[in-house]
Amino acid sequence: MNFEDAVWIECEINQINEKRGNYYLQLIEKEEEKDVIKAQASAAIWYRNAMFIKKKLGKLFDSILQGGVKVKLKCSISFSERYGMNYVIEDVDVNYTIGQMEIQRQKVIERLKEEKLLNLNHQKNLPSVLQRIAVVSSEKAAGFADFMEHLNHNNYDYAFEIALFDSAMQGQNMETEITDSIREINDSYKEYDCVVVIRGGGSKLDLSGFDNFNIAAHIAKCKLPVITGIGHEIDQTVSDLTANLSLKTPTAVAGYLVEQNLHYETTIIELAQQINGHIQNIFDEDSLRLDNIQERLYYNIKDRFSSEHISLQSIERLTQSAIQQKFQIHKSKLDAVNGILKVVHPDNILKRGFSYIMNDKDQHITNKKSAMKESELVIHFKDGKLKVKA
Amino acid sequence: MAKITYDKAFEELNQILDDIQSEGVGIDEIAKKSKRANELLKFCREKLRTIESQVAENFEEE
Repeated sequence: MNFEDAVWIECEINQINEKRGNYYLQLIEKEEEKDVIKAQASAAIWYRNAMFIKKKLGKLFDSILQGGVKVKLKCSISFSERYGMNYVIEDVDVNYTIGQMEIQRQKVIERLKEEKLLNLNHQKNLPSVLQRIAVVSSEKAAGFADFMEHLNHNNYDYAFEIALFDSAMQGQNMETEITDSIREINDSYKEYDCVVVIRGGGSKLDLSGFDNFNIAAHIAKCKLPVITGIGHEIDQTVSDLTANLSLKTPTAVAGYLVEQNLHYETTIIELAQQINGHIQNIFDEDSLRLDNIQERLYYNIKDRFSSEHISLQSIERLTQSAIQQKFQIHKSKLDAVNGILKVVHPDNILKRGFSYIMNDKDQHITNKKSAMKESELVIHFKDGKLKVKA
Repeated sequence: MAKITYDKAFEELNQILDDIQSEGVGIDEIAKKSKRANELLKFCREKLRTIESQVAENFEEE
């Protein structure tokens, strides 16, 4: 039994497996706002249809046809006795899925707003130096290698300590692995300067995992500031909104980390130059002051020497004149004595009319008694002597 | 003489001057005092010149 016309159904893919070009799906419908499954069915995309859909969707094929994605499928219903009722998928409505994702995305943003998580991580300050980086990414993720390459070969030889918390960056395990990683980082948050969540480009659907509430909330509540580098230029996921800083690509994040350190180093160098300048100024000023002191010292000493010379000269003069004076005094005394001696000299006495008497042996006769003994006396006058016979 | 400082020498010189100017010192002592005074003057002058030229050199080295 078969329906003649295919119908469009809206549901969510729960599981999908590929086998020899055919895809086998489990479709579910959930209660609004709840995780309770209210209906489920099996479906298949046969090889031929799969080729058509792949051609139509291109890269989006894998993004849309995966677990957890809401889809609108064009199905015909087939029934066989052996396999029972089965949906045969003929076409996929891409716009529906993208629309659903946008609706979901808006809901998540609303909830984050309500729970005051949207700006929580923004309030953390990024340290000036970012060196110890906790990276949430996958070694296999596009962009991770670029990120590492950019950091390890930066132009300034800055060293970075990278701790990779390997997590799926797409697919069903993404939510658990990323939230586990962030929890693990929180446990030892003091060992890191910041958290980096990176994943290279992909389609909007590939990156839609980052619109997940739990991931965005964990990023918001992370104990460290989180920098995201998810996807290409135009992508802005919810996780980007809750992160401290959202950059376009993993390479941009690496560039930012290097630049922050460069900025810090430049600031330090400028400060050092300013300090050096100040020190130089102090030296210059002190040097001037010393020059000044030296000059004053020099002239003071010079003055002191000339005054010493003058002192010595004057002391010499004073000593000489004191000696002269002393001599003069003694000479005057001698002159006085000389004068007296002159007055009492016998010649001078004779001149005054006195005379004296000597014997013939030139001995002074000064009394009568001795004169009586002499046979001859010589009287000395001022103008000569006179011999007198006794 | 070598051990004496400039200041001590200068002080002694002044003392000699005082002595000579006073009545107390006789002529016999004057010779001795004058000889000493001349020695001290010579010493002070030499010392002054030596120090002066040293100081000048030091300043020129700067």
